[in-house]
Amino acid sequence: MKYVFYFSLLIAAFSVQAAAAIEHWVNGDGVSIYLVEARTIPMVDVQVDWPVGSASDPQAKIGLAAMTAALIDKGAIVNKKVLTEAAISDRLADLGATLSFNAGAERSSMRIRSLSDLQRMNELINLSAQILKEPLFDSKVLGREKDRTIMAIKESQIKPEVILSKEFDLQIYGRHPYGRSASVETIQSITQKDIKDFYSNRFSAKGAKVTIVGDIDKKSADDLVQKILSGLPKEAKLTQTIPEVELFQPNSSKSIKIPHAAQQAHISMGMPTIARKDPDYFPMLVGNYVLGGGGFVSRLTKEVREKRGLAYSVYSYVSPGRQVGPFVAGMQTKKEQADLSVEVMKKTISDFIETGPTDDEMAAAKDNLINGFPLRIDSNRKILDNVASIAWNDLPLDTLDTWRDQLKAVTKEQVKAAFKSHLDMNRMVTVVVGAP
Amino acid sequence: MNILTTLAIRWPFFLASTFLFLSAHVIAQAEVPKDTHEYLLKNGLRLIVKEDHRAPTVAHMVWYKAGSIDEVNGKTGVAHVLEHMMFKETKHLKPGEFSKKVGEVGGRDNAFTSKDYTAYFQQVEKSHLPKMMALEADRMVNLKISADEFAKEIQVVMEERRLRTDDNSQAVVYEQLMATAFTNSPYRNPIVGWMDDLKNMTYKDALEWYQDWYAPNNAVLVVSGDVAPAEVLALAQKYYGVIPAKKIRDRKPQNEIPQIGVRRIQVKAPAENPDITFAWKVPKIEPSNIKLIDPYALRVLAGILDGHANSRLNRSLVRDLRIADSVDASYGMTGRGPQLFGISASPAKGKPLAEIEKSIRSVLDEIKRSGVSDAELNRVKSQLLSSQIYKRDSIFAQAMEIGMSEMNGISWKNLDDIIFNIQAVNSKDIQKVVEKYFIDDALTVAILEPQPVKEKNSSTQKMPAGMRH
Repeated sequence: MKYVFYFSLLIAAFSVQAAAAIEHWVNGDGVSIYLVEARTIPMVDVQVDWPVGSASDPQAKIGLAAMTAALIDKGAIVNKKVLTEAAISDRLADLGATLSFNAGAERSSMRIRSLSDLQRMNELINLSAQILKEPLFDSKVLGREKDRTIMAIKESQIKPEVILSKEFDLQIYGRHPYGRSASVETIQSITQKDIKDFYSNRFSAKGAKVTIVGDIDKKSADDLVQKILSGLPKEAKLTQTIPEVELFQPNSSKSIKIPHAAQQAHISMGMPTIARKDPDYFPMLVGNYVLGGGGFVSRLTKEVREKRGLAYSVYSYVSPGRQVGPFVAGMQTKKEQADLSVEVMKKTISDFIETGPTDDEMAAAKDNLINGFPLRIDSNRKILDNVASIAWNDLPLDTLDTWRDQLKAVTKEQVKAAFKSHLDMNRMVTVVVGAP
Repeated sequence: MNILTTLAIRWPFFLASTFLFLSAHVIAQAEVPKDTHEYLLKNGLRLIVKEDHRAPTVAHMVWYKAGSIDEVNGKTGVAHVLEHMMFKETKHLKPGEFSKKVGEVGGRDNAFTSKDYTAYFQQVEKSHLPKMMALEADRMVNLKISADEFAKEIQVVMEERRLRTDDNSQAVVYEQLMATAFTNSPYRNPIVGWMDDLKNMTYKDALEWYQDWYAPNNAVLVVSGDVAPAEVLALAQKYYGVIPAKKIRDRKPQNEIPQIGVRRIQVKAPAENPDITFAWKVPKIEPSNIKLIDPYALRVLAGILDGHANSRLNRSLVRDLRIADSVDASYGMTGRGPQLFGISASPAKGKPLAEIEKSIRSVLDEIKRSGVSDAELNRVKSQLLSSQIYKRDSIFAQAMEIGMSEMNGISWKNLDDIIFNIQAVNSKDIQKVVEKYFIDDALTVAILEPQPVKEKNSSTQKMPAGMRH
């Protein structure tokens, strides 16, 4: 019970004064560490992010970062002996812990969840360090994972939502690495040597960002990070450089239709907008709530679903990262209604860009985002996600602290100006898969 | 594919599959948790409050014991359609006002319909709980269903069916499998309803459903989070306590008749790869006697077959034999209707389904013959116990667990007993359930036979990257 009391104080402190709750330091190996102590539940969550993503994939071997991530925990060499993938997963299950790797466009991540008692934590730290130090990258396992990935690609290629998302990314990002996706050929071409080189050249301690939330103090957190990453090279031989995402040129709007036999047409429209650090982030957030982010109260939902019954799900979002990210609006509807739906979406978005939100809509959006803030940080998992995002995007440590004030300060004029400057119907791309 | 995923949800909102397995709050011996409190209002509404003071938020859920299991022929899907209509109009609110009011206080709200129940919830900062209760109590008794609003919303529901079932081959297989495995139990009908029933449904059907089942004495109110139980009780009395109880329609048991032979179906649907699903009829935890060991043995068996990356099925079929690309096992330990134990697999390229079937049977036979090791048993139990701790990270998950359990006839007070009973399972218990229930007479097999997509699309594949930009 003592934990309960301690944590309620901490969470109160956290929501009012977030900066005090995030401890941040850089260790001797150049690892950037972010810690939130949360002692109510005897558990710890750790996320390690490396600046190694699919953006680093060679053109002919798209999928290499993802395949590397999938193989890291599938066997290791420990003291010159093989620790098999079977032994690794058994040990994790025995500990009641989970460990996973995945690769996105910008980063590869390792996530660990464990109970916080010393014995389990120590075992898990040792195991993670062993895995990272010398992954086996066994050729038989690689062959299996390639087969599985190829099957999955073939299966997904006939799905309208996958066809849509690939085509849409291609339209948004063009030749930029974010516009690429793995194919049967690129996966087929990945060799054991590719994986080994990719891992040894690019993964290092320096430059990694580690976020830790849970029942652990600063000293133990520092030890944990040092130990887990101790087997990695101090510095990476190759570092990731990502070109800027280009904005669309004036009068470049286009519409692409891809036929498909599914009953529903899948629709996306959008364009590149802003990066996370853009000063228009908050005006775009508030504006998008009104337009298509606010679930049942958004304009898109009202026009598409509530008034016309055209779709089950209709939404819009802005997804900025370190790089410029797109505004996306999407829905699905039965084939015959596809053209009508595109019209309704375009009209709704274009009206919003033209006139911006009403006073009532502004108030409703700000009320929702401000009053809903406590729900963004009411679990260790959510805190981990937020703090890892602060870490990855190099945002100020007081980002959560000032969140509500930033929202409060947004004016109707700012929203209107932001939407006018970042969105434009004459530049937007529309993709429809399964159009009549 | 987890064949036991039975939640149909109003808005794209997916629950972690862990919710499907019951579990409890603490790893203690079966002792009633002190942070949970139960009250019965005069009108028959039961209130369960779970205190958790980690963060200043609360989850407020109302659970109605009315799911697709309560539907009758020709009106399948009506439970779920009514759930959609609950967000429309009441005597006091115009269409859309409900969500607007939840939105104003920064709340997140949604609802979901399952085979066994329909539930509505809001998550809010704790000071807004009274407003949420006022809204939820209002629509418990004052809902208005107009022909006009119904006509629009039924279109939305049909779009939902197209999106989530008709254009999704795996979902079509699951729907066909359920319709085959069950003969007379209403579990054979999809939660979302058959398209033909949706097309012929009227606003009067929805209204009838509302009048039949929506009443305080057919509901359980669950509140979890940073609250004081006495205050929640006072609020519940103020908002819900004034709603009169109703006579609830009689429920016919519609117990499933015994299966008398293996059932096999082929489902032709657009896909690249075939797959195969096995479903055996197995017992669930019976509320009248939660001590019977078989369901707990089946729960541990599911963990041994598919609890982690190196458990028996994955190790054998995917890793060692390389005949499958994926394999899953799932078991519904509780529910109002009859339950299945499912195993499904996708073959590796070129591997015949017959070989998959043979290997799955040989994995089961091996357990029947030689039992399981202590290491395997302990592993499954260790994972289960850790998950009890991890679950405490979410007040919503805790409210979910209480609500689901109550709907299935098992008191939250018994949640710890369940964990306790699972811990008691030994190798012999597992051998026994494999022997007893994994028999062909109780088996349904569904095979997905891939069909080419009719209109071959011009796809992104043929186009050099970046050409159009």
